[in-house]
Parts: sequence; C-alpha cells; structure tokens
Amino acid sequence: MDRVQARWDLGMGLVAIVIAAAFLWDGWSLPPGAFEPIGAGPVPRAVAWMVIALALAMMGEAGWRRTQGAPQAAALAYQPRPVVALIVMAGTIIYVATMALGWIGFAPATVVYLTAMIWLLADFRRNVLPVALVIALIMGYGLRYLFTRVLITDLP
Amino acid sequence: MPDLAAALLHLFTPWPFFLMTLGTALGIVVGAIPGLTGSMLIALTLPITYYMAPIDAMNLLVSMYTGSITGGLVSATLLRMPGTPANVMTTFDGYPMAKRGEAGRALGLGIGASTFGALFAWVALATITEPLSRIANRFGPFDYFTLVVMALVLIASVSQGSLIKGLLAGALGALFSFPGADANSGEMRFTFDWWQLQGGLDTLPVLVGVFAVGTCIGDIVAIRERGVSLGFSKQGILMRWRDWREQKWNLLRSSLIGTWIGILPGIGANVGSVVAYTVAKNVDKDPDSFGTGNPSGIVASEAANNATVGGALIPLIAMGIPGSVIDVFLMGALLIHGIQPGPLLFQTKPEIVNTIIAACLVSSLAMWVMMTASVGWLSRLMQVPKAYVLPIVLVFCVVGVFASNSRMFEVWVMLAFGLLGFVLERARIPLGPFVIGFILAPLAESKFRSGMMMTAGDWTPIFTQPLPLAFLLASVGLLAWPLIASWRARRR
Repeated sequence: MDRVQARWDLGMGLVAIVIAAAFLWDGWSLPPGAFEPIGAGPVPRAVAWMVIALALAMMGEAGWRRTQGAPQAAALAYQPRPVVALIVMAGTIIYVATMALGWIGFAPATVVYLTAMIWLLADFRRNVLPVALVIALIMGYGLRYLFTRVLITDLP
Repeated sequence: MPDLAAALLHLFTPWPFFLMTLGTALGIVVGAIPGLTGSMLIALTLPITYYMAPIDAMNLLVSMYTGSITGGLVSATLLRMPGTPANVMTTFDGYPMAKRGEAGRALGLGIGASTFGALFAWVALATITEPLSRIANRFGPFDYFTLVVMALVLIASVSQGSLIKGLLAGALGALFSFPGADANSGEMRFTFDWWQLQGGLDTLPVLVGVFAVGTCIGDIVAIRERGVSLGFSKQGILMRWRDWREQKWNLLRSSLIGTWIGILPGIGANVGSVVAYTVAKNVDKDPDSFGTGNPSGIVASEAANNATVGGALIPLIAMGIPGSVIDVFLMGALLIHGIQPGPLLFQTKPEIVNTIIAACLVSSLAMWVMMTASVGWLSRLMQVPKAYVLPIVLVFCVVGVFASNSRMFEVWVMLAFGLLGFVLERARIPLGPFVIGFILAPLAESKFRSGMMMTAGDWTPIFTQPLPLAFLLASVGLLAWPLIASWRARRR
C-alpha cells in the first residue's frame, strides 16, 4: 500500500464513520417492537456499529502501514485528470439543477451540456466542436422525441 | 421441459428475437469498449424495461449480460486493456499472442471457449435450478438469514483488496438499504426528516449512481489512458479442430469452475476467470509459458467467465440471491415489475424462468455468430474516443433515472451515489459487496425478524438447527481463511 492509498483509506474510513454515526443518531429514538421481539432499530444499529468497527480497522491498518514507511505511489502510464472530472461533475450538477428549477427545458439544456462536456474532454480541439454540436443536437432533441412521443413519459 | 421448449420457440418470433439480438449486440459493443461495462449498460437499460413486458425485459437484459462478458475479449487481446474486469486474465496471454501476429487465433480461441463455457453452464442452469428451488422452498427464516449472511461474507472475502474493505463495503451498502418505512412495523426510520426518503432509497438511482456515474467519473480521471493498439487479421478466427482437441480438458475444467463459482452467491465472472486461469496454469506441463501467449490461458479465462453467467443465474432464480453483481440488476428488473425472485418463482411465474433460461442459450449462440462476424469491426469501434461516449452516458443516466419515477430527487440521489461509488473505487473498496449488501440486507433483516417472531425472541436455533449452523460455520470459515492463508504464507 502506498502513501496516497493510505490517505484515501483514512479519508474513506472517516466518511464511513460519519455516515454510520448519522444512522446511529437518527435510529437512537426508534421504539422497541410492539408486536415482535425486536423493533425497527436494532438491526440497522448493529450494522452501523459494524461499519464503525470495520472503518476503524481499515484506518488502523492504513495508519500502521504509514508508520512502517509506505512507499511512494508508483508512477501511472498516463496523466490523471481529477480537475477535469470535477468540472464535469460540477457541469452535470448545474445541468440537473437548471432543469430541476425549470430555468431551461430538457432538449436545449442537453445540447449545451453535451457540447460543452465533449469539447472539454477533447481538450477544446477546434475540429471536435462541430461534431460535438451535431451529437448534442441529435441526443437532445432525439431523446426528447423518444421519451415524450414514443415512450410517453416525463422528462426533466 | 415443454415450457422451456415453448420459451425457446417464443424467442424466435420477431419482437423477442429482435430484443435478443439487440441485447447481445449492445452487450458485445459495450463490453468491447474499455471503461464501459455490462453493469453500466444494464443499469442504463433498466428504466426502459419499465415499458416492456417482464419476459421481454428479461430477454433483453440476459442477452446483454451474455454479450458484455464476451465483448471485453477484443480489447483485452488487441489493446491490452480488458473491456470488462472479467477479461483481465485474457490480457495476459491474448495480447502476447496478438503481438506475435496471432491476433485472429487468439480471438478465435476466446470466442470458441466463451461459447463452450456459456453452453456448459446453460446445461447446469436448465437442469439444476428447479431441484434447487424445491430445496430452497423448504428453507425457514433463519436458514435464509444465515444464507444471506454467508453470501455477503463470501463476496466480501473474494473481492479485490482486503477482507476488511470487502466487509465494510457490504455493511455500508446494507446501511443505505434501511431508510424508509420499516417493512415489519411500518415505522419510519432513517429519513432524517426528509419526506422524500419515506419510500426509502430506490434501487435504480443507487445502482446507476454507483456503477454508471461512479465509473464515468473514474474514466474521466483516466481519460488519457491509452491501450497499445495492435493490427488485426481474421486468420484463425474460427477455432481449429486441433485446438478443440488439445483444449478439451481445459475447456471442461474451466467451464466447470466458472459454473460452480457462478453458483456461489455474490461472486461472478472476475473471480471465475482468475481461479480457472490459476488452475490451468498449475496443471499445465509448461506453467512458465502462461503470461507469454499460451492459448490455454485464453481458453481457461474465457470459458470460465462465460460459464459464470449461466451459473450465477441459478441462485438468482432458485433462491432469490444474486450470483453476481450483474444479477443484482436482473433482480432489480424483476422487482421493478413486481416479481419477487426466489424459490416460488417456478410456481408463480414459470414463463419468466423459462424465458431467462431460453435467452441464456439463444444469446450464447447469437454471441458466437456476432463475435465471429464482427470482430474486425469491433477492433475499430473500441478505439472510439471516450470524450464522446462519457458525457452521453451521463445524459442517459439522468434521463433514465428521472423517467423511472418522474422525480428529480432520484437524480440527486444518483449523483450522490455516483460520487460515493467513485470514492469507494478510488479507496479500493469493492463495489460488488456494496450493491449486494444494499439489495440483500432488507431480505436478511426481514427473515431474521420473522424467525425471531416465530421463536418468540429465541435466536438459539441459528446455532442448533443444522442448516443455519452450516451456513454460519461456512461464513466463519470464509472470514478465517484469508487470515490463515496469510499466516501460512508468512511461515513459509
């Protein structure tokens, strides 16, 4: 296990503990079963304690490996792009939010979103833009037609 | 058997035949494109199946399942990038063979072995499932509870990475299944004062989020990753008679291993191919040649990973316990249509069972035809830039999840679980136990509480009745085995 991995383990362990603690906090007030030996609370609470115990074990293992001088992470054969992934996620959240708030309809929102995301992922190469736009138009208006006219269902 | 014959004939009528062909073809295409997986495809298809008859939905999804496991063979051989995790072992010998100019033969061996493995497992599926479901019909609540516990421990113990991480993933998945109205008492729990959570977390947004959105984020981070592309010629694409003869024991052994591992609840193609490859290497006269382009390596990996498809359907149909991660989606599709998978399925919905079994057979044969005919085209398709594919997949995720319930809340849930799925994968916490925990925890809880009601709060039958005790001991053994194995390795 390398140092970066150990950090991820520690971080994920903390996230798991927070999630389990939230469940324990919310489940504490659940009443005992009225018509059965155990109520709605004990099983989820037991699982939450299990999550905490396992997360602590994982964090302990990661911490121990760090003190043992975990090696540096091996170099990857490619350049990872976490910032681009963050931008795409942010873009997706904005895409969903604009439709949820009713600011823009599904088809135009999809056209803008797809064009921007494809162009971003293709490193803003100029020759990609027209292709991205065509794909976005087909997807945006094509899916609107498919879902509202053929499958007769709602769209965001 | 007459019902199965009728289901087979039904598959050759125009609409079911079209769905089967479409499903297999899409599965192959998605499997061949590195980064896209069968789980992702099936997750995205689930919302569309709302609008289908249940037998059509199962026909389509099972065909996708069969196709996706095989499609990954092409990129594993020509790009040194497994199209799906189930094809990792194929890379070790497929790529070296392709490098020395035998790409066609490597792919031919893979396609032939895949078809053999799939057909072998189909025989088991068609013959074992019904007797097993009759046995499972007699299971009491504690039997079921301990069986589910064993399934969770099993998938955690064989998942990639440490046992602790596998168990943590399963427990986390279980935790997320609890919000909403308690099935036994009707009590609202873990809603955190959000009325939207009163119905609980829907299966679809969680599965699509974890598998499709999470995988997309991971693929975007690694978007600069490129395989080492090799040229391809179709020479040797049909497996030669000599190869069939030389590989007959390897084919039988690997298919048997794949089928057996498929039957074990919760674990699927990835583990099947690893075990079959390792066994093939250990019994081979020249084990050192494995990893340098030994045809036996490709045959073992591909026969086993395809055999897990049929094998994994056995516990799903007979006991309502998914045999692999993709089976979780099939289970989700059945639940969407109000069908409870399990031992009663043979009695309540025999047409569904027979369609699943028939689709498994016909799609395996269709897969052979399509793979043999289209492998050259697939070798070009797998180079399609991810920049075009990933945003489209994200749009499909949003549309599919929204369309399933017409609620924007589900889309937010999907995005949240997408982030969680990405973080879990980044921390090397396996996703398989997470989704299986999410799907099976309600079943385990309800069986445990039913058992407690039947015994007036006495849980000692878990330790005194033979079946629960056997499942429990197996779980303890599975937990202890990695510790014993590492202790033995240290002593050596």
